[in-house]
Amino acid sequence: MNDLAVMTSGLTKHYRGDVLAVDHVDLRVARGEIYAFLGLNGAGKSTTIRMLLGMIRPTAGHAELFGQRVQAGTTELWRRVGHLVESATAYPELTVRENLEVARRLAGISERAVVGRWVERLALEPYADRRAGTLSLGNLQRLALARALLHEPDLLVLDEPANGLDPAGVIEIRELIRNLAHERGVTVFTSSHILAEVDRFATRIGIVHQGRLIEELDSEALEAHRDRRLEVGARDLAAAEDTLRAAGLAPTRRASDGDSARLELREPSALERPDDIARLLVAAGGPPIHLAVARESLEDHFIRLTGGAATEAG
Amino acid sequence: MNGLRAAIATEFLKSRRSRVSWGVAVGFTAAPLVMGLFMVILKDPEGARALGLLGAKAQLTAGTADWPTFLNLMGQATTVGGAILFAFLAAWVFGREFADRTVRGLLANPTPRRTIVVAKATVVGIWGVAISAWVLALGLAVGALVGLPGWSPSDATATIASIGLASVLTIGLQVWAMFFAGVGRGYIAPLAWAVAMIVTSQVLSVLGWGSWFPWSVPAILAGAGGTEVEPVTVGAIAAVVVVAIIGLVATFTWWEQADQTT
Repeated sequence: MNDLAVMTSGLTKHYRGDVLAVDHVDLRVARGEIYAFLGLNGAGKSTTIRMLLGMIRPTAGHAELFGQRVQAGTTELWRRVGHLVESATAYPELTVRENLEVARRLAGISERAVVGRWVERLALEPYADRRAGTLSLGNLQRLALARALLHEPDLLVLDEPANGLDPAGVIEIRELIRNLAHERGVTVFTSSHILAEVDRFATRIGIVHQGRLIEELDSEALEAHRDRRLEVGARDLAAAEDTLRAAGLAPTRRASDGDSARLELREPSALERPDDIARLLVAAGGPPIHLAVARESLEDHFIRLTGGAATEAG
Repeated sequence: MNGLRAAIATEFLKSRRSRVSWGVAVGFTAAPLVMGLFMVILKDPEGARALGLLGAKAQLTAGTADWPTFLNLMGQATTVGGAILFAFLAAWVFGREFADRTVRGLLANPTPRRTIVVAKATVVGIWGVAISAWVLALGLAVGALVGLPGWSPSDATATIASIGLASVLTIGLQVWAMFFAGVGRGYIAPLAWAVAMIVTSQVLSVLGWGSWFPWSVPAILAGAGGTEVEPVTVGAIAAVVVVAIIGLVATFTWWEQADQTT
């Protein structure tokens, strides 16, 4: 049995006008993984997602979901796939319940109660009989998620699932996605621009830049790749620097953010025993006023990898 | 088959909730009422002037107040008016999915795209036929209420059959509005197409080539060209059917083959 939920081979999309949106992307997403697909605006994320869903025809290469080749005419495959592509949409003149009823019928689900269940699960009861056109962005996003989940898919393809949600909603959706993956073994393929959010739930991350997949790592590998440092603050930074150098360490000065100039140590001994560094500085008569082990955030890692042109992935 | 039934049910739900579907029905309902008013004025111009229905210097050139004139006007209203109002209906049913970006929910879906297109076309067709039948029935009631002379059961039956056939052909030609709603990803392209076809039909009809142009055929069939125009042949009707089938195939092909970036 094929254990991959998503597989692409040389997936490429060339648009007219010599625009290479996606360039030979090879993806392998195992069943049960939560795969985060990151990239700057225009990096090729949405085009890749649309090719996975048969909405865009690849110029070269192909995509498979659960071992089945994706084509525009594929229909049975979509019983196993739920999706939310780019912004959430709904029929504005229909109520929340009616929108889900339309989705239920088109998904071929005979059980009517499923609509009520997802209305309840995504906290949409107060809005169930309200027209979708009057919903807030956050509730519209919940409705779109409910529609994607209605047929209990084995694979969820989500584009910016936390878009428009308030902080509580973001946590709620994160927990929902995590539970679906852990309890039901649902594979999640998601793009997001909230990198800190992705960092919390993704089991694997793929970074796409200018149409190419430039890095793919699981959460352990990401952890290992991350730059770790011991940040040291002192009233007399020059004296602290001398003390540390005298102890055989190689402190570097971090660019000052206003008045918070600090020293950074990357030696494993310092990272493992920051208390020794504190003792050293106290003994030298210049005790630290700040001492913290910091690790590179996914955002920093992402910016380092993509050349730092942007502060957010899109 | 279940998929088609479900898709048709969802399309009807959307249509029932839409202002456009009801707006088209109301717009069409105005036709027999206005024609009836014309007949009242034609029957008694002086009385109409006295009531303020007709300006002091205005002349109505619609003809005489009788059933043949009234049914001829009804035929023009349902075909020329239908060409634009049914295009609104088709543009909405298909184009709204792109304008509202709801098409994404219809694409990677267990219900095949072809079934979605058939369901949408079915809803446009059923709405179109229902509205045409309602307008014709209302027209007959208005004509009877006005007390028009010249009713001949055989002539009226033939004219009503022609109007019915013309309405069906007008609705059938809306597959091209459906096609352009996809290609143009919204409402503008199908409506522009409908206007272009109406103008071209009028120009070709004036030049005497109307029966050769499929988009002119329904109006000529319904009597819009008067007696000077060549009668519509079976071949011309077949040409309309062929053009409609080509449009349907083009619509299927577009939905299944085109990149969906909306």
